[in-house]
Amino acid sequence: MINKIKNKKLIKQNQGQVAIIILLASAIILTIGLSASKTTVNNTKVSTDEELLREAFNTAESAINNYLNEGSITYTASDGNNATVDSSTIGNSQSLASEGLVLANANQLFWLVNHNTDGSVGTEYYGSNSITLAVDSGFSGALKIDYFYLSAGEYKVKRLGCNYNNSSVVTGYTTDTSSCSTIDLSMGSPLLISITPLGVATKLTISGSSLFPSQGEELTSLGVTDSGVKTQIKTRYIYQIPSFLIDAITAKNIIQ
Amino acid sequence: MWSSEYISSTSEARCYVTDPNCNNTALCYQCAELSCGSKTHKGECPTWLGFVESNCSTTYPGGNPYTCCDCAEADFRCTSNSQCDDGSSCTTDTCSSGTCSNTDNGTCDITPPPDEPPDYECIWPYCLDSGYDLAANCSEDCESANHWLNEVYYICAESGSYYNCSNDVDGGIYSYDWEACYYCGGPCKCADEYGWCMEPSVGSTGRCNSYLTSRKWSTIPESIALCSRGTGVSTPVLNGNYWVWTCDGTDGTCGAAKGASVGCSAVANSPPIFNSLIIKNDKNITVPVETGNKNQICQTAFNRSRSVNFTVGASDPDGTADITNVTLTWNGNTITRKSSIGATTTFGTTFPSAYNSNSIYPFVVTITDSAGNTAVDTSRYFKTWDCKVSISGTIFDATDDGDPVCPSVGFTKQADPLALNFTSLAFTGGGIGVSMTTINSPNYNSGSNYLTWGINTNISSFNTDISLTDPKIRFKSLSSVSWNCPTNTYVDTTILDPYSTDPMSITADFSGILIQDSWWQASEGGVIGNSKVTGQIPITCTTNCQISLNGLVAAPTVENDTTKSLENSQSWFYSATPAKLANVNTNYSYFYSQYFVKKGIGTTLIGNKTITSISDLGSDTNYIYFIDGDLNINGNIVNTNNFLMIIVSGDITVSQDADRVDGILVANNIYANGASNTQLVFNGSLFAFNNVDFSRDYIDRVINNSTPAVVVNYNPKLIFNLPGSVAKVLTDWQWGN
Repeated sequence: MINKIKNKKLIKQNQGQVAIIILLASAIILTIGLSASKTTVNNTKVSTDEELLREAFNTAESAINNYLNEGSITYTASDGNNATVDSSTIGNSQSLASEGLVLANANQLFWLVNHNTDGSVGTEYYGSNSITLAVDSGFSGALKIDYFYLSAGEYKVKRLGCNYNNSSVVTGYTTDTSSCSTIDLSMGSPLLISITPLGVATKLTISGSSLFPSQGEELTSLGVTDSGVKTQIKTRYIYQIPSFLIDAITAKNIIQ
Repeated sequence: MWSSEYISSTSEARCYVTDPNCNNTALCYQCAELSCGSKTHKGECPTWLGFVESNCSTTYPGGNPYTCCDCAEADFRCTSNSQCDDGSSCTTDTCSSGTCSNTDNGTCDITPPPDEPPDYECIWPYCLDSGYDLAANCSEDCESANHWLNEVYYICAESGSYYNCSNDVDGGIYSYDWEACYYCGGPCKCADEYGWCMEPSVGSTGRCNSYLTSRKWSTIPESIALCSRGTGVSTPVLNGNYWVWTCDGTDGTCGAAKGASVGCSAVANSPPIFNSLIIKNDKNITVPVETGNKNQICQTAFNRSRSVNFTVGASDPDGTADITNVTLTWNGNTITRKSSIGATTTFGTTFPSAYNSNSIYPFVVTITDSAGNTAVDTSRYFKTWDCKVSISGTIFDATDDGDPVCPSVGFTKQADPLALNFTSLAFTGGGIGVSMTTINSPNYNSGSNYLTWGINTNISSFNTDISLTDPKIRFKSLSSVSWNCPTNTYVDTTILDPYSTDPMSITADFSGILIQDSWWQASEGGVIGNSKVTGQIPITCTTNCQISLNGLVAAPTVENDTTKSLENSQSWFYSATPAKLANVNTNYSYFYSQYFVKKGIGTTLIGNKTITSISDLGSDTNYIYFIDGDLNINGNIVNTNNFLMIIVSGDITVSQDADRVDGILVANNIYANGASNTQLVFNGSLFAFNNVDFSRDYIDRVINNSTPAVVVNYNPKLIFNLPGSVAKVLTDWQWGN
């Protein structure tokens, strides 16, 4: 069994959307192909398809879990359902994007150093002295940017922030976003950038003239029931750290 | 019938009337025939008039001794010391070669000689009332013409057998009327043949008053007779170094010639001269005179001693030997002479407290010479007082003004007594500590204690636990409007004019910054709270005064709980309702599940733990420890490895015994309390599911004014040394074709 979904709310929303799509598609098919059937028979058929889709989903999920544990890209369940996992590396390109919107107050990590196969931090650093950061057009929040680097054998962090579109989300942040749009990496060997939208969610994209190291994998699993019903799911298996480690003191309640 | 003889004296006449056979006296036997001729009977020479009896020879007429002597006016030259007695016990009277001298014998130096010369001397018995002369007092002429008549009359009254004639004036007839003696008081038969004319006598030579001539005079005293015989015929005039005058001779008797006049002279005398008065301390070191030609006993030059020595310098044109006395007084008090009188005369005294006064008085130097002339100096003034200076003042709070700047900045707001904790104040100067007896915080006064005038660095010291840092002082005299602003907190008592009659009192105020409450700080990392972040950056902080140095502070409520504004306490802060950046889904169970359960990483300890070092946790290969309970950290946690993470289900409490804790701390609550002399430094990251509360303080609380008691140094190294097995996680997923 794979780990629990991190953002259950989002997952539930996604699940509902997919279910609606499937139901609509099923209804169209049923309307075209079985227009002569009685209403009671139609209702029974929809329930059966939902069950089949659930089986396909579970099989796809299990296949990802099996992939993470065993490294095998194919998976066959005991009931005959099967799934195939496709893994693609995130990174190794000159541009990286967040997985959709980054919610306000949540941080998005962009690794600028590779990881070893055991998950430890490697020594292959992003090769350019700067990167370009793009946010959604009209973004009116602020960005908290924490840039980690290695200098003379010491781990260091440079912190900066910008209020976009002349907003004043963070007192003291500059409204000149140039320092956030083009992030200077020249003070050492780049390790990591943590970018946190404040006040407003936005999609984040960084780009540069060098290849970014692997951020992890994007896993696509296609589950198929023995009756041929298929469901495809996607997830990211990325290098992550607890968000509180970005800062010095974090508390869910009061700090005094 | 007139006798062919002359009687030479009344004694001779008495002889005749006393002895019926021979003038009523054996000595006068045949006295009418026995005459001394040009000599006088022994004992009859009028030595009281300056005559000298000499060359006596005795015959024995009738078997009785009869002695006659030369009697001549004496040359007024002394022959014995007693003749030179000037009537003063202060001098040694000496007759040398016929000249008198009166030398100061030192016995009466302190007591000035009498202002007036003695009354005209009359030598017994000639001027005593009970004697021959009925002169009422010695001021009368001893040579009264009534001299003899009264004596005769007296005899007459005794016997009633004779009578004297009243026609007895100089040059007149002294008669004896035998017959008339039968009835005393009858008419005098001055023409009787038994009368005698007084022997004609040449008038006496005028005589100078020896009192005048034996002394030196700046002026001739008018109250003293110029002549002891005769009459001064001229007013003394200065002729060179002498006063000169003339004494006329007296008239002769029985038509004899008047005595000759003599010239008199007395040495003219110059008054003494005051040269200097030098004041010296108890070590005989000269004390410099102060402006206004004055001194006062509290001058430091007096060595805090009330013993003072003096040297009077004097001179006299007639020679130092002419100075007979030197005295020194102050405010009516005589200062004891310590040396003989001379060109320099020393004095000394220890001024008793009874002499203390707010007023200034002159020294009176009096120099007297042999002529009684004086020189007086009163130009040098002196004050003796108790040197006590009272002091009082107020302590002000300059916290809102930054550093106080004398005399005004920071001296307007009185310190809050409760916050100040002002319990004692002492001033120490010259090795003497003076405590203020009355502390009515924030005010004080010296009460019955006093500073000592002349000490210019009375260093102040408060009770050690007063909540006042780096106080500044201002001080002034009570009556002044201008403040003094020393660089150090001392009081200079010499600002007071010691010669003033104003109260010797100083006002000294202090101003400082009150000691602040303890505070904490994050460095190189942000501070994220989902409810509130309360900083305590003190107003006194001057450098690196941020809740988070180089980091963001974010919470629905961000505040700085001092008089220092949030804007001045934090460069970047996100204070708004949505500012909840902490991940609410992570807790002990989450980490325990993710790391320990799923990855098999970490060591789990059950129950409350107290550790004093990292080794107390065990030896987990990944340096991840789970404690299902509370954790008390009572010692330094020094991590020499690349990673350390302690995840506690309960609370982490760091006691005052620890001053360094390395690693990532995760707990329900994280506390740092107690008080220490050292700063508590976290090197890592702290994450609390509930609160982070730093109440740790400095024992020496003044450090709070500039330095946080707790610092959390963010350590990025820890991120990159997470165990690789926990570095990769799944994120959200999407579901679709």
